Amino acid sequence: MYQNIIHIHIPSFPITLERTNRPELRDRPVVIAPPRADRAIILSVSPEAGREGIFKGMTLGNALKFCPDLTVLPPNPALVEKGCGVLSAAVARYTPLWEPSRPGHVYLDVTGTERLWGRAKDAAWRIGRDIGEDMSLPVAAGVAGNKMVSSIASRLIPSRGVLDVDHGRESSFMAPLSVDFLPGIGHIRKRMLLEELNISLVRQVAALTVHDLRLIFGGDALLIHERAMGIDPTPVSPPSSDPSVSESITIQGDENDDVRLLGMLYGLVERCSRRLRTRGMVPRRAGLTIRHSDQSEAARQTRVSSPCPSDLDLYADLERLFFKACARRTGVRFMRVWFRELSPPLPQLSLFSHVNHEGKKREKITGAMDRIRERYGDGAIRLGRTV
Amino acid sequence: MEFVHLNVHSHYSRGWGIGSIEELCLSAKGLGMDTLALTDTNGIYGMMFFLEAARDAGIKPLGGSEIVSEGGHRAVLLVRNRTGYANLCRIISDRNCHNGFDLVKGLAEKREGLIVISDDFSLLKRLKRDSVEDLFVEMSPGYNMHRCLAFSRSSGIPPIATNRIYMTAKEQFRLHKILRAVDLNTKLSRLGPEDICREHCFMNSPGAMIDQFPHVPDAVENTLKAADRCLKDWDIFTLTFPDFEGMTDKEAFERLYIRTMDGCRRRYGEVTRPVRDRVEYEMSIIRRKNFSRYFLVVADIAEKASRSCGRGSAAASIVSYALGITDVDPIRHNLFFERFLNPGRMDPPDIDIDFAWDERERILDYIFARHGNLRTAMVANHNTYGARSAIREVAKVYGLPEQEISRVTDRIGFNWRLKDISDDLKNHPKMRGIGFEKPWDEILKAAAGLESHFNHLSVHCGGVVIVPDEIRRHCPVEVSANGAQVLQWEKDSVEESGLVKIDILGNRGLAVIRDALELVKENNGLTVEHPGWRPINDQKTVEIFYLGDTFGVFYFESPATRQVLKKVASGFTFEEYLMLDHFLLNVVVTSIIRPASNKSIKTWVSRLHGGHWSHIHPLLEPVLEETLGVMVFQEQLSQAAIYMAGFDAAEADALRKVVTKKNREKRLRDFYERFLRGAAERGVAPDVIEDVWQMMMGFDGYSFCKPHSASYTMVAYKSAYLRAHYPAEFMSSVISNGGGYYSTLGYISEARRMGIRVLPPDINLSGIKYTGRDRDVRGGLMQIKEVSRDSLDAVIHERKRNGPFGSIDEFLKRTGRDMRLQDAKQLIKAGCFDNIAMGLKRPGLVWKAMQFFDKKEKAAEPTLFDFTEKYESASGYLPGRDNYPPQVMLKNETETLGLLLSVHPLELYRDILSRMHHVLAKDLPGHVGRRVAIAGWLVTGKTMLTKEGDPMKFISFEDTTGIYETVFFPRIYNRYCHMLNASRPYIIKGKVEEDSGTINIAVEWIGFLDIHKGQNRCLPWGED
Repeated sequence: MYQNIIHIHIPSFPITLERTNRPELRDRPVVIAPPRADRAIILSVSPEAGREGIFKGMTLGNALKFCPDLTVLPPNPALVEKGCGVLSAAVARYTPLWEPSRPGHVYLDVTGTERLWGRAKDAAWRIGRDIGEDMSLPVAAGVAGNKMVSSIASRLIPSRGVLDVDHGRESSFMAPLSVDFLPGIGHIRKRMLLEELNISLVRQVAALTVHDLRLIFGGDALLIHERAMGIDPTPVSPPSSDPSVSESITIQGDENDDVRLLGMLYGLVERCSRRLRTRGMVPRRAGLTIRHSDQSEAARQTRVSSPCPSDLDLYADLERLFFKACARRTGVRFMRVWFRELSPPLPQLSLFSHVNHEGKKREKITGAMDRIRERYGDGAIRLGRTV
Repeated sequence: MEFVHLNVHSHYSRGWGIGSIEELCLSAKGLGMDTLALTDTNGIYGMMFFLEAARDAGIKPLGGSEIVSEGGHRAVLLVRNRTGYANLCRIISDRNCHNGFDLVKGLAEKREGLIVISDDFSLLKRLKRDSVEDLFVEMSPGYNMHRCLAFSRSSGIPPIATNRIYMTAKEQFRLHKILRAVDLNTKLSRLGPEDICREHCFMNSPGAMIDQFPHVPDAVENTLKAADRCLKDWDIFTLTFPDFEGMTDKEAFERLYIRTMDGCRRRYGEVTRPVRDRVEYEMSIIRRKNFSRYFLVVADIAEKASRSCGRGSAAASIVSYALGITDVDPIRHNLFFERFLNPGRMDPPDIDIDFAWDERERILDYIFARHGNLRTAMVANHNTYGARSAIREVAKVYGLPEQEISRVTDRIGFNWRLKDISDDLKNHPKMRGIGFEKPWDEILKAAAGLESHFNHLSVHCGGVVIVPDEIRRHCPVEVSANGAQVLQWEKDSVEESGLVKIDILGNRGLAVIRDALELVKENNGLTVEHPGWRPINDQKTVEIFYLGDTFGVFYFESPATRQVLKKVASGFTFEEYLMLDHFLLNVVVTSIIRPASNKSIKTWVSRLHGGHWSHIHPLLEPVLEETLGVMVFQEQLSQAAIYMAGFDAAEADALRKVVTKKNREKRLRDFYERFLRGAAERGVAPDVIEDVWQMMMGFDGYSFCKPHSASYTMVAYKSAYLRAHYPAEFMSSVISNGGGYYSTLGYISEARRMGIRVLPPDINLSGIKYTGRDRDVRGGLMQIKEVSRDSLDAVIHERKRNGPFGSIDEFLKRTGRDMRLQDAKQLIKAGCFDNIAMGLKRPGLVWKAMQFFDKKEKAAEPTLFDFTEKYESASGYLPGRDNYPPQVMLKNETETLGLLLSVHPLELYRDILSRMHHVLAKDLPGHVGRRVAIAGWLVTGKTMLTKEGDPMKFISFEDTTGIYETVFFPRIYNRYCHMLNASRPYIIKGKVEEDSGTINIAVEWIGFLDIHKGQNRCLPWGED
């Protein structure tokens, strides 16, 4: 049986979501970036802003010079999360096999659902219509026999609509495209293809044997050759059932002062641990990702030394990770903390009557703080280091 | 006096000290102290400056150093006498040269003549075993003072109070922390307490210090006792000459005399009376001053090079000429020996020699081998933080990303001083478009504070010192990154201390002459340089100077010099010019364009062309006659003082040196008084005295002495001879040796203007260097970027051994063992295989190379048989049957060669230029007085300051027909300076002006041509 994969793509997802609530933003150049910091990096760009020469990754100061009328919106993770949830709910009606790849991108495996939804391209059209009606979002949908081709097909649609690639025609669909469309090529190899071997189209890559492609792509030759032929065996994987808790912060401007950064880190740990306590779980593994202002990233993870949901205990591990991850002087722009391998606390009691008074005391303090926050809001009580 | 600071650090305590030596001395004086020590960490880099600054401030200087060794031992050492100084230098040298240096052991062996102050108990205990004399326990507030006191009492070693000064003032603490973060490559928030000094470690008043030690008054008293025992008059520095083969003075003199007479016979044919008299005169002074060995050492070095050129005043000596150190006949060209040596001169003679730049290393190796590391060391440069590096380092501490830092530093000019402009930097026209958001304010302020602070030691480009005994007793040495033994002092300190320095400098012009002569010999079998070679008498050579066609000619190629040559020639026909002493004229030109005298160019040219003039006073007639009453040469300043005011030679020479120094006013006062008195005694009117003094004071920039100018002009004539007679060989040598006034592209354009074809590199026809023959210059393989020199050498070697390559396959088979894929790709993309491609295009050649190297890599080990056969390409398929698109071809050419060799970059904009009215460079003389638009590619430029201090710029542009000069006056420069660094095509609009035969465009507007690429409309620029 042929596979039918649909790739749903909502261009400039965070901005499109904002526009659903704020119609005055329509047809205006809009970007998402942390506010009040000229050196902040732009995270999302509306097509209107793109036409003014603004691109993702540009500094806000520069973008404002290009386009003084630019509307700058702050990142709204809650709205994006909500949007993702609604999008997931909308597509989940059509198939149990759906995979959210990034915000605004979802793959659906609709193989075998013809009797329910008709042909795959009709299903894609219907999904687009539903999302358009429910959420007022423009949807571009690519339909093909695999994830890669459906994704490329959706990118070829200017704003909304469906592009269907017939079964068996993946290879001829890919052939006239630029090598830029091949996933996994990378800057260096792309340069080699274009400027050393004069290979600019996918069909030229497809014409080479796997043996020849090894000269360019080494061990990835077979993969690239398959991709150039329009073959992608990757299955659509439903969202992982492995639970995790994470919190992140995008810093306004840059920060390289350890005292302030550790304060922020503590804030993130505090929020995570509160969620863990609410869920009654303890983590076994913790991780930290740091992104510097020059976009370089460092990620470190560790096994939690004393699994418990207390922020004071969890913070000690994260502080160690911080000094490993943040070895450079360059300012930090983004931090993300996560905890995985969640499980209920061990019911096993200690064999000996060793009472951890300090731990009990911390537990009391944490509990008291949680109660205050529940009643008066998150900002009602804070540790000095997070101020 | 109540207290003496004995642990004081200036900015020469690398990464720790804030504040200059002058600031420390003035601060100490201001606080009522009359004695001060300088004890920089692990060095005496600033010792000679300290002695001078202390003298100026009225402070008694105590010298020493704080030694911190790797094992954690530390001690402050103060010099008591000559032996102590030698021991200090040896200890510092050992500390900096040996990894496992042990301070305790070092001090135990070399403690004589030193006062030791330390809070390192193990070190003190060990030294106490020998003697407690001149040994003190250091007590500093904030540094375990109580433990130190307890140790002092228990051990019986007397205490001494210090403040461990790292700052001049308290406010500098923040800057100190920034400097520490720079030094430790960390950020401010990660500095621990031991990483920085204490907040109170600044120059405190004696009263404040005494208040810190009410419980140990003897610690304060001991500072006075220790200071009293230290060396204060510093009369230990005397002239130190190198030794030559262990000869006595008499033997050295006799050897020098014999060699001089032999040299004269070789140079002159026969030794005439004037020659003999000159030799006798010079030799008598050399004998009196005991300089024979020095001459022999220098001559011995000069002999080792293919050619050399004496610089400076040494070119005025017939002894130098006879020994082959210099190449200018001092008798024929009227050069005075007294400028070089005179009986009254107290400072060491200075013989500097230029060698071909690529032979310099070999010469230095010879010197070190001949005299040994025990006696020889290179002179250092003190690299301090400039505007760029200070901003860069501070911004890194503040966490700014590289890209953002470069946006600012890339626009900072070479000589910018943040202290002068930091407030205006943000508003500077060059910084247009940069936001300077927070925290740039703090960064710029801190960077201004850090500017001029010692950063690191580097090796001077050629200064070498040879002593007869042991170099490490004269000055501490370090080992540079490239392994050379280098002194801790830069050239001024070396000279001040009496060490005689020999400058071995690299000169591209000499290498150009050498290479061009070799090419001529290779091409035509001719030996141009024979004893009768006289470029001065060659008409075609003289014509080069007459026309100002000196592009590539040593020292005469800058736009300013070429303009002066044209101005000089504009008043004469070529026949008249030939009749003049054109060599002397050009000697004057080499010096008059220097900063000290370039303001007099117009006056000198008008007088040369017959303008009315008279001497400012008859007494100056013998001094300024040959330069038409204008002060041009360095020695004319001192001669004016001698003739006008009766200065003796040494006094006049001292005056000449002071005039060119910064902060000269104070020192000039005495000279001025002396000059007034002397001139008045000779009956000179007060207003004339004042005029002459002002003329002398105006001669304050960098200038040449006449012998130096003559020596350089002689090299220039040889260079011009080769340009005139062998242009292809000459231009290829100019490009190969690089480093000239213009970029490679500039020289290639000039070669084309000379009617020479410039051909691309070819795997069978190119050498490593550029080669020239007849009217062709062939690009050298050296031009290809990112190819290792070893690979290129292997190609040339293989080609010489087994003949040219027939195809890419053959090339890979024969050279594959010594090549990397990247090398082969670069050669292919540069077009080196186009002539043996056998129908393949460049992408196909790259593919073949990739196949070959892939198989080579996979081969586990070579077989017994010829492995290259084993890797014969198996795949018949070749990707990219077509050649690269034109834009990729040009991109590859730019990337592999670093420039566009096949066409002039402006040719790429021919379509745009065809749609606009513009003039060509060759037609500019026909548009004088009119406004024109002209296309241009930036060749070179020079920023100057007007009398009002406003910046303006002279820029040379070229189009496909010629090179032309433009002037950006301050208002226009201010508007466009941010656009003036790009390698982009310009369109320039301005008024064409003529001045004494030279054409300039006074620019009114500039824009970029490339922004109109792809547009199809008529462009608005045009002639009025």
